[in-house]
Amino acid sequence: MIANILRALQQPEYVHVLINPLPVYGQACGLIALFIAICQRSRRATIVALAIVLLSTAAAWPVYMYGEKAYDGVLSMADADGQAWLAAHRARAENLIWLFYAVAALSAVALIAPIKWQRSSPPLAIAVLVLGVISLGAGGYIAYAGGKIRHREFRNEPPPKQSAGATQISSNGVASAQVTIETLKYSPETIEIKKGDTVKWTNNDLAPHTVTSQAGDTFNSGSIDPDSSWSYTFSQPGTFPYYCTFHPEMKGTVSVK
Amino acid sequence: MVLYMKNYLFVFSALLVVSLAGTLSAQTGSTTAAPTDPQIAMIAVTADSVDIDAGKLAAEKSSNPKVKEFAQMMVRDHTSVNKKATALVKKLNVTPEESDTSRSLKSDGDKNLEKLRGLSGAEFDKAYIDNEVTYHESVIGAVTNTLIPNTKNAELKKLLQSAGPIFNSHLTHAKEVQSSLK
Repeated sequence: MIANILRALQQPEYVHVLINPLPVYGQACGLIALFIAICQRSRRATIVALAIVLLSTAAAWPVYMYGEKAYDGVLSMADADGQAWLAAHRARAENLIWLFYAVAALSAVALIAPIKWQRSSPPLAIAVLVLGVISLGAGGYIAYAGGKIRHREFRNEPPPKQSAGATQISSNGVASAQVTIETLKYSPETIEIKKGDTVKWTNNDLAPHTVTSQAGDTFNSGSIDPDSSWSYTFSQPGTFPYYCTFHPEMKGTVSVK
Repeated sequence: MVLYMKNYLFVFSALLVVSLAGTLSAQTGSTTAAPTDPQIAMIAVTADSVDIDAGKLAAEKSSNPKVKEFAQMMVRDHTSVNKKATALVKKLNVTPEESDTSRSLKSDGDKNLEKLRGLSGAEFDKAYIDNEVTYHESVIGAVTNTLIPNTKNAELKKLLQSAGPIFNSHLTHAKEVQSSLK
């Protein structure tokens, strides 16, 4: 068991999940203590509270670092929706992580400055409290996307739109969308395109598959062998559910606007 | 002098522990006899071929459309997986090697074919599908519990891992056809 724990500690995604409550719940406890200390007008209690806030917000740095290290591994494990949540999780973290560093720096100042200027203690403590509450909100916003990467059961809404990846704009200005077929799944399962766009399905699986429209005979690829692809241009708007005639449990949708 | 004695004792007991541990691990290594990559490649190719042969027979002999369709899927998918496996083996310059597991797979497959050839109609359909259910169950078990954990080559491992969902889907289909026959 100890060997397994040591092995888990080598995995950046494990360490990331292990320590990521610190900047959120750790800081929240520190801020509650700080609020009480301010009400009590106690410099000693303020010092304790500020130390907790400083340590827990500084922990945002290893959380962020291990998260970045884990990105590629988790990306390869996540399903299409999970990948969209992962991209959002990373973008939010990269945009907002500075807030935690700012709280850490400000609480360091709030600990040290009053040694020389006693009267600066209460206003600095209040400033830490305000900025801390803002960073907590940011932490919740980042973690909200993070929790949905691997937990399908928490996904109560559609995934955020991915800015890059699914669609590429070709030189003539026509968006052409790519769908890969892997381990008996179309990825992404649902794709949104514009009228006149071409979708290309590439079979990266071990078995042959088809792309066949559910309704009528709008389109039917016939057998697409492994390492082959098939394209279709959608000239009419509408929603086109399709499936694999060889493996009817495989389903996808093209939505044409 | 006493100090020297203590040191000798310590070194001696440390050596004893190390050599004991060495013998133990050598013993466990020889008794489990994990399959090597060339053996794993042979097991995978044989398992596929056995199912292709049974599928071809069923596609020809059965008159039940569901059984026929299932048999065609087995031939199509397993032929495709085998093509990929053979190409990879060639690329990696590995010569598939026979083992007890691959030999017993082959002989069990031959026995099943022989039995199926003697049957016809609903009896044939039932025997074929029943065997497909148990066969896929045991292949999935072997792939996940023995083959994947023992595969050293990353590409071969990936191939086995991506074959997993296909075999699982076959099992689901086989069970559906099985319940439709009752």
